[in-house]
Amino acid sequence: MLGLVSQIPALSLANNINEYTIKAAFIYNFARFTEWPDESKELRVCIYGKDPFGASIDKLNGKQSNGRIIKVIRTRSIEEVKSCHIAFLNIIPPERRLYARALRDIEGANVLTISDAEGVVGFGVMIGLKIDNDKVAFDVNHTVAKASEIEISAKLLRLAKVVN
Amino acid sequence: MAIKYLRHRLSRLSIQNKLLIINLTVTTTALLFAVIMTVYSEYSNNRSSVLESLLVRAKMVGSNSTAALVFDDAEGARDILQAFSESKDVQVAVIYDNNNRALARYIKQQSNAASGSHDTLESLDNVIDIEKPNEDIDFMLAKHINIIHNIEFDNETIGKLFIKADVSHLYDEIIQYLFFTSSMALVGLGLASILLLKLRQSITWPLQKLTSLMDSVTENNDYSIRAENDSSDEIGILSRGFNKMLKHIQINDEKLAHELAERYKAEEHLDKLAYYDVVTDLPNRHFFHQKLVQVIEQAINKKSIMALVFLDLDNFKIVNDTLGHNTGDLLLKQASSRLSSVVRQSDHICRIGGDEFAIIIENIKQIDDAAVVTTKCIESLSKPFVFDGKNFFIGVSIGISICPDDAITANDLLVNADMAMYEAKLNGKNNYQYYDRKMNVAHSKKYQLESDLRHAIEQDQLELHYQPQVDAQSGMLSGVEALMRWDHPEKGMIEPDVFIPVAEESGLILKLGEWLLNTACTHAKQIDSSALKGIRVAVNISAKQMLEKSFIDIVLTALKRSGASPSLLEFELTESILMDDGEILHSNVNQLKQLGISVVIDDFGAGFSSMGYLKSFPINMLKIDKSFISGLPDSSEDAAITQAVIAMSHSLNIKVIAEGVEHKSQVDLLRNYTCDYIQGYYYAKPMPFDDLFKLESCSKISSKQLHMIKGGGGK
Repeated sequence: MLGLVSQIPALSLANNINEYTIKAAFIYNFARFTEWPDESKELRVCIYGKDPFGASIDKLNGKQSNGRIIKVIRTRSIEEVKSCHIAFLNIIPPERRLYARALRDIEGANVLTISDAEGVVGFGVMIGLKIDNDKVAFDVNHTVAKASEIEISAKLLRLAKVVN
Repeated sequence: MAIKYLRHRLSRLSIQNKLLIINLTVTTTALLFAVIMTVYSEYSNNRSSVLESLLVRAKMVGSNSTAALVFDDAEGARDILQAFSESKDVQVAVIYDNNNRALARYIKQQSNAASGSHDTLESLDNVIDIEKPNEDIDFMLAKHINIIHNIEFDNETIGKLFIKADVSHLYDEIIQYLFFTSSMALVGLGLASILLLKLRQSITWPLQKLTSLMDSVTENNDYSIRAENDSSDEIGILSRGFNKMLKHIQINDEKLAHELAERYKAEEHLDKLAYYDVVTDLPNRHFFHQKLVQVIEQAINKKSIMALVFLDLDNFKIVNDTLGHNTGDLLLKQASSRLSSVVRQSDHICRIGGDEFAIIIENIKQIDDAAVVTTKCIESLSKPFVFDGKNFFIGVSIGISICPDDAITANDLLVNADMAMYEAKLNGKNNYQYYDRKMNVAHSKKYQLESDLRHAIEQDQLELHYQPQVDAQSGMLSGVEALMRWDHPEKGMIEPDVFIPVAEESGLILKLGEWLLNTACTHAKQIDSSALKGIRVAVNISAKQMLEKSFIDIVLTALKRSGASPSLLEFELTESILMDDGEILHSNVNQLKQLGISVVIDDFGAGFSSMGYLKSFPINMLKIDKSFISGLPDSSEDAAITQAVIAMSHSLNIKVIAEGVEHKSQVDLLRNYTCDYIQGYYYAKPMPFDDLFKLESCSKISSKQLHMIKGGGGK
């Protein structure tokens, strides 16, 4: 179990492993390389919109990251997203204006926004997941993250394909 | 072993070099140790810092690669590992995940280390676990360092970082460092040596000074040198000890030198005494013999001719006996200096006896050359010698013997020269004679005569004849003169002129004189007891007798034994005897006077006539020498002298007797001159004792009677 989430033995889609299982592990790992300004004991991972993960994301529940205990929350309320540490945004259809609106709504809150919709990093989402060479990869909009007082580790930034 | 070997080698070196070697050895050892320690420490430090830096980099890269590990991002991991490309030493770096699967690897280009695949960690040996660093010596000296670093994230080990670093550059560095420190050490050693050379002089310089001082002392034997060193170290003590020792040696040396000088002086003096005559400063008999042997040898070897000239002063004995030994010595000195001045420098003149000299003449061309030298000698001594303002004449008799003609040994040559000299004496003195073989016969005759004379005294071969003396005025027998006759059993009658000189020369004269005195005294007693009673008996006394201390005792004994009356005795002395100014002579003459024995001067006028003794001695009578009488009556000079002597004697109350009177005319003249007594053939020849009593009329004999007796003797 631990191996599955903390280590990603074969994050290649070719290995016939579910894409979102890998993405869930990515989310966990993002949490580990990120620091938030609050002191809460809870690290709230919210799934906003349609849940693509299924049970694989629930495996994060109760896991520790930097002394915080992860709690997976599925929500449709943008207001609730504001109280999350990580928000996986899965807005359908993945249009720019919809993402812009959601992002505007949570502006000011210290939320690491993640999405796997195409080009979302350009819309203002902090981390955008994508498939590259049959492997899950990610881009980072560091500017937005910094504006939200979220510190993404340089180690993580180094792995990003594109950093804005 | 090494130290023993070193000590052995060192013991052969000078102190200078010992000091140098010891100091350099110590310095080198210290420097070597320092260099090794420094180099090791440097290496150790360098290696530690290299290791430290590797570990730091491993941690950093490990930490940086956490995200890549977590995301299984090989590309990201490779990017991170690419950081090692800046590092010179890291050859290989591999990130492993928890399943020991290599996520990413970095291999330095141009590196041989790429040979290994490093796919899994199992293939690796000799790796450093960063938690437990290996510090053993193999690790310390290894050219490569392998490090495994556990990559942790969130208190979990999520993978490992393997690094293989090439640290061979450490060796290059350390070799450079070794070169540098060694160079510095060598420079230090050089500086130390220079310093040492300067400093060791303070030790070796005084030692060198001391040794060179010692050398100069032993070389020059100069013990007055002193070491100058006042330092209080061991060398100072050595110097002072050395000086003290030198002082002792110097004192002893000076003492020794002084002692040696004294000894040399003494030896030189002894040598001179041994080879030189102290009176004349001429070489002595000892030298003469050595020289003679040497010259003869040379003459024989070179086939040349050499001459030995033997000289004997004629009248030296008279001067010595009459003027004393001091004057005699003076005469010898003057005579020797005259002789020395006439001989050539190459001739050797020596004094070989009392008045005997010898000249060795080398390399003469012909035998006659020797005569040239001897003639000069005779001439040089013919001039008078002056003592006390008086002239003394001495002559010299010389014999010459030639080598190899006459003899070829020193002894034979000397005997021959002596014989030739004796021949010269017999020939009337003051001449020279070459040796002739006939002389040998004469010589042996002389010695035979001496031997026979000795026997003659013992065996009573001698007898006394008496020649009558007549009162000039009355013609009466007044006395007789005792004269010795020697009737040799084989050779017949031998004249006193022949045997008296032999007796004088051999010393037999004393014995002869004593015999004469005793016999004459016995005869005097017999005469006094006969018809001839009252006539005096004259006895000749020799110089040697008169100068004997015991002479008076002998006279007294003779008188006592014979019972003769001293007043009937007359002792005839020659003038020369009275020339001696000695105490013994004075005492003897005075005692004779006291005994009542008359003293007559024999042969007056023949020798050195010094009238002084006529006053100082109690003289009773003078006997005028026959040489004056023989000239009478024709020689006016002899007549004048005879007359003057008689007149002078009478004025001094001294009687006069004339001897050698042979003619009537002489008797008449002497009577005319008032001569007191006459002796001579005119009256009587000497006759045997018994014949005296055949004379008629005991005390009154006429000339006729005497002639009768003469005729009766038949001789």
